[in-house]
Amino acid sequence: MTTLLALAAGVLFTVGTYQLLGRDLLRIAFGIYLLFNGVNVLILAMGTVSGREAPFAQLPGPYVDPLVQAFALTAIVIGFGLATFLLLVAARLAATQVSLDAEAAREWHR
Amino acid sequence: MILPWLLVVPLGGVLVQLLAWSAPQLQARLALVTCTASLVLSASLTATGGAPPYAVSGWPVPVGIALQADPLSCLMLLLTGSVLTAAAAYQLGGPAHPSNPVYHLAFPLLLLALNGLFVTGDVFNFYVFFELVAVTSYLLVSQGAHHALEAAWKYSAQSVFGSVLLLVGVVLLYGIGGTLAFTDLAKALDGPAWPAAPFLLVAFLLKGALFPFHFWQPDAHAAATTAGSMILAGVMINVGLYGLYRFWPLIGGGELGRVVVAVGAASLVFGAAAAWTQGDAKRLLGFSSISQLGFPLVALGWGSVAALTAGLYFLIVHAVAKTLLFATTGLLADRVGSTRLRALLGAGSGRIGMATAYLLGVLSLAGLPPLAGLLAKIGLLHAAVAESKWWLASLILLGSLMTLGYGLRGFQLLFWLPPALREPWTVPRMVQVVIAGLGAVLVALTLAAGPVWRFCGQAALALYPQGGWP
Repeated sequence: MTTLLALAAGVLFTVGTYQLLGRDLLRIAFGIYLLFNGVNVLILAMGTVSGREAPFAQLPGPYVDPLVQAFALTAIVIGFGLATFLLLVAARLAATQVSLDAEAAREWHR
Repeated sequence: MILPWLLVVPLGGVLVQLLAWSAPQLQARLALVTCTASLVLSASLTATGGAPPYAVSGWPVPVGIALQADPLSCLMLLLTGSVLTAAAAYQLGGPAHPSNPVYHLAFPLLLLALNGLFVTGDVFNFYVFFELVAVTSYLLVSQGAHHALEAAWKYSAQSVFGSVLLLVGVVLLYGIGGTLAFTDLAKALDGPAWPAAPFLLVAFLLKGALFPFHFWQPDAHAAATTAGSMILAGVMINVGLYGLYRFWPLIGGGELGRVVVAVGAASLVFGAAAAWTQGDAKRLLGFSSISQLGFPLVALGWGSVAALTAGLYFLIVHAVAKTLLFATTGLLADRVGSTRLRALLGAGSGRIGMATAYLLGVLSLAGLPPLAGLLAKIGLLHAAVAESKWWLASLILLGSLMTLGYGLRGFQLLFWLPPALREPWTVPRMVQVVIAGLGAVLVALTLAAGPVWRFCGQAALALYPQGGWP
């Protein structure tokens, strides 16, 4: 299970980083969202998922680490909020200059 | 019991300002009141010598959240309070008034986030507050000049990448140490947590806009409003350095120290060289920040308590001086309607007060005797010579000399050229107070250098009770 999570996190990081390197503003925003989801998987992997019970008092232990799941929840919300913000700025930029290209934004600046 | 109020007061400020949504002038006033209240709270906290850990709503530490204030936190809280108060006062009394209510809301929100960042006792809340600081500062940058949106995009995209790295670092720290509180982590780790180190290092260097990660900073400075630039230079980039100083006991060690010294030295030289060639008054100051923050970074990489003390002292001096420089330059730019040096030639000529303030800021940064920056640089030079690291000593001297060069170039272009034909204008009363107040703080940092230096020493010693990292 840990190997699977590590692989998933690795794929998400790779694809996210690749998307960051382009010039398309939308792709950059989505790349960052993929990166955040890669971190979420990494957070879950910290909590030793396989072979443990959900942290309910009715179930017999040993439990997974509940703190890690609280992190993941917080990180999902923050990542989603930031991705939304980036998309919003990208949309505003596109509306003012009719392009989603980073180089075009630079020309417009001068 | 001051600690929780540092968060409650700004939060109350946010709520009250939401009620005054449609009255921007009232909002600006409320922002100033909130920032001043926080400054007073921070000052009384510092006067009582910090605060022991405070468990939020009575839950003990492994379960609940702890707030704490050691001397380093007090130092940063005082700095934040002063800079934000100055910026809010400029916003209220200065010439440019963006009437967007969201912009005024940024002041108490930022205060809440920064106070939380400096008093939090665990690494995950550090991340959450760090994120809150970042989002609020995007707000500040995006409200400025016509190209502000593009600068805000550049800033936010790079900074969000930094927060991803910070989150990875924090989670890895938890995975290795098994706990979140800074104090418990230091005990739980045996030796530096090297897997987390590169992530945290890059995240903080991005936030601090140090040399290889500086791209966003000059643009953000040039695009932001004057108050926004003051906050960016006075607090925001120092957050990166604060993070490094705070996390260094957990991640720092031999090889990483050398990397940090190299990055700091590169920043020092590159920033100064780039500042010399700028054609924009605010970008000149922005590149200058890249160069100046190299000093505290080199001090951190060095590791002895003497060097850390000098680094922290210089961090404070730089923050106040740069806020002052942005206030004077920003006022001229707001008057003329451009930040280009070509448009600003001689714009401040004949303005003795502003010229003195600008010169005071530049000379403090360059470390001209007897001004404040000199003491920090003597401290660093002393440490360098004591360990016979001559190349580092000469680098520090070179950096100071270049500071003097580009600083005086800016001074000459803004204040020493014959004035272009312009209608007479007066500096608003509130802005006079801001500039005079920041200048007075700089002079006070020189006159009261002994106590301030000792306090910085306490802050460094609280991080490294054994007298420096090995």
